[in-house]
Amino acid sequence: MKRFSEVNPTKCFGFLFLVVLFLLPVFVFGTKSYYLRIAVLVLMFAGMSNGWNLISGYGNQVSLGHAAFFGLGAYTSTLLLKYIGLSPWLGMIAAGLVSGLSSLLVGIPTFRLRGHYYALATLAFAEVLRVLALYFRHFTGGAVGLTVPYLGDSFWFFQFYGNRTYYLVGLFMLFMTLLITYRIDRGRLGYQLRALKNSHEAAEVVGVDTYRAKLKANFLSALITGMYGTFYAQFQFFIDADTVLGFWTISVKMALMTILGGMGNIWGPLIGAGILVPLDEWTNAVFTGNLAAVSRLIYGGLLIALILWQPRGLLYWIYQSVARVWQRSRGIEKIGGNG
Amino acid sequence: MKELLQVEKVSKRFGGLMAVNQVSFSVQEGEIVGLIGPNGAGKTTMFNLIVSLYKPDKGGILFRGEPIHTLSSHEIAERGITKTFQITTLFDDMSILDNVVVGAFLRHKKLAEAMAKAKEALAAVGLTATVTQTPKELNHVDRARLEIARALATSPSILLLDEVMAGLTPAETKEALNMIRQIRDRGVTLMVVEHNMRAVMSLCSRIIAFDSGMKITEGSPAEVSGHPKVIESYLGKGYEIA
Amino acid sequence: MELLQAMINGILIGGVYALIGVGLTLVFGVMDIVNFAQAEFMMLGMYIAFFLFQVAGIDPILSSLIVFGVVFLIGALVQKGLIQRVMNAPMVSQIFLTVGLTMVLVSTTQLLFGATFRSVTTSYQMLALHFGHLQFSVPYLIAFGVSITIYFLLWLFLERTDLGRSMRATAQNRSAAILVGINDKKMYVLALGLGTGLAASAGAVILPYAYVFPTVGHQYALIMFTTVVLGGFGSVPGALLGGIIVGIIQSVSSVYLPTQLQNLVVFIAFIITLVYKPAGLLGR
Repeated sequence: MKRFSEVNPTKCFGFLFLVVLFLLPVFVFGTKSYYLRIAVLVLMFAGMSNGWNLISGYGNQVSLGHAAFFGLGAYTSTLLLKYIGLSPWLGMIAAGLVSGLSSLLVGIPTFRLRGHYYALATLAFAEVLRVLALYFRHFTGGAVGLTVPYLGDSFWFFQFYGNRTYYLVGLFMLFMTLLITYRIDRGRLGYQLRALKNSHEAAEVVGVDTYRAKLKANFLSALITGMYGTFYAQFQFFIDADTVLGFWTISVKMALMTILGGMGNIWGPLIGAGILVPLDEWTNAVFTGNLAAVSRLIYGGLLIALILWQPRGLLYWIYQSVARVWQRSRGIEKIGGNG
Repeated sequence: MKELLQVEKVSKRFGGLMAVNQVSFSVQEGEIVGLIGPNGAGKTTMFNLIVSLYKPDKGGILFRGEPIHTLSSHEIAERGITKTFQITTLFDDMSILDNVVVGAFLRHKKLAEAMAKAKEALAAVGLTATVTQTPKELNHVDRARLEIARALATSPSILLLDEVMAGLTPAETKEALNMIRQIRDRGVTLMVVEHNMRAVMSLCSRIIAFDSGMKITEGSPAEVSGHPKVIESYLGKGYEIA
Repeated sequence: MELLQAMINGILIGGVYALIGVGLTLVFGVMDIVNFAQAEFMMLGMYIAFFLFQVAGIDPILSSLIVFGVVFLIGALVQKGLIQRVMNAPMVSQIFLTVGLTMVLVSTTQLLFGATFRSVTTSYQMLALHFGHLQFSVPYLIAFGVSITIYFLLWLFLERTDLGRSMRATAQNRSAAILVGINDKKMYVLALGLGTGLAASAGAVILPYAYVFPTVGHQYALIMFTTVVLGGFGSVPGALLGGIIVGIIQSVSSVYLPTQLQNLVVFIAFIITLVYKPAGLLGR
């Protein structure tokens, strides 16, 4: 895959361009705009999926239960807010830590084993948390859910009127997530993860503690995802076990977006989120009631199609197409030159 | 001279096969020890046991007096022992430079330092291919070089080379021998498994001969090459050197 | 006494769990793939049995044979058309192909049959045998009996027939099996067909006492995976042992804990197995 490691003026220009592009929605859409709301969700899912990507893409350990970390984070900060009035910003840190530590529960037993075990363990973990959350409904609101107490437009309590500020917060969080992922990728952990993906044995023999590397990646992944759980709670003002700890609602979505855009690559999740979040909103609006299953059918079909024909995602497909066109134009030049 | 590595009565069995049978030997600092024997004699298994890719069923392995056979491979690499793979096992999705950087990261935590070390290691093995290429584009000889570079980047005390001179022309072999000697001169103790007898004899100060999982003899190149059991293991009973 | 009753129920249910799980373990053993859609094939089996009962009045226990056959064919097609293509792909692809399959199966049945809970009423549904203070629910007994019978037939197939032995050979060493002339692709089709068919017949067998609805597979997923992990991935007798143990754990924990927390105990068993004996009790 292309590496964005060239340091040159083009990079700076590109960066500025992106900044402007990303800030556009804030100015174009009204703060109560439905489109801005979707944009916020795009940013959120892009960040979350990046978190998933850290362990499943870079770390090559597929997680089927990241909803566990998401939901844990959401409940942690919301319960702290509810019971001790803790600012959700601090709650977000707590959420990240709780999720991060919980990641050890699944990582420690499974990372010495083959990948299937981690996948199953995360699946089971999320499911168990969901069941527990439904059961302890006195605490968690059970199936009915928890509403985040409305305390007015307040920065301290991470609640804002309208969507604009959420968008900016989301943008900042996404930026930080991408930065963290980028730094990991270009640093020791990233190299170790890539190495062990290629050959576990060879990596170990040249000194890579593969077990530790995976645990680290998993921790960071869970941490990021947990923090997004808080963001979600503060944005939606409402969380419930079936949504925030749900296999289909969160775990599969994060995975699907990343696979669509391209795994093991920092821009993939963003592209995937950019396509799937609006698509999701659209299908939910169109296929209601009895037809609700149609959207799931579409996503299932999409997932299968992706795996069969573009397993490396859209980004790779774009890269290949561009490379092919470029090569072809070069070829034509050469022939013309010899004529 | 210090006894750097001690292998004591190590045995390893795979199902019905006794791959390594009560083998003992030691390696002194600064030596280049050759490990010879017919295919299937247990040489690669012995290497794998030293770096803990396999655990011995019986016996122990000591490095600087401390048992290492209970440690994991990466811990052993940390202590200072690493190996190259008989069938080159490179990180094919990473560039040539990045392959070596992975090794360098063992002792250098920052990317810049690791890269510098990696470039040093590449120079030491004489790999001049464009470092942004992937290993897939390299020929067989350069792939072997890359494996060595990656191992060197871990700043090992002991380097185990597994048939790195396989398939080399005489000229290439001479180059390889020089390179290995230079590595030794930099303070690395070496063990090499090779089938090229002339190369082994000229390179190694001491040779250990294996057959069917057992050490049949060890000694100087002259002693070993004339040893009847060694000749028998390669050529069969009844062969007489004219 | 309640404990003993719970254990008995656990064993009876466990037999069925074993049947659902053995398909998963078989597919893993032969193909090295975890079929995440396994529980959905059980759901498929339940629906087929349900409709056979509605339309033709066939008792689900009897129709389990037909159900097996139908889903076997479906499984074989799925293998040929979909899974074969990712046999050499990275694990990510294999996992998500079957996840996508789950989505397609669940949503298709939901669209076709709606989300309502369906059940059958058989003449023996409410019957129970009594031995002293112990009760043996007849549907449970029959389900257990049929499951064990099918299990035994499977064992016979694997041990005594050439085809079965070929499959075991493929499971043990793919390349060696190919070298002695076994058609590995054929083995995979057979394995997946068998695996899914078995799960489906398990579904038919529990219909007398369970409801069927599109997402019923979800509930059994955790149980099924724990069964296989406990027993050992790839071990057919392991799935039987695992199933029974999981059944007992679940049943006994319901004596002391509220129903919703049963799965928690199963999950803990799952994690403990991973930590102390990842290869499972009878694993390779």
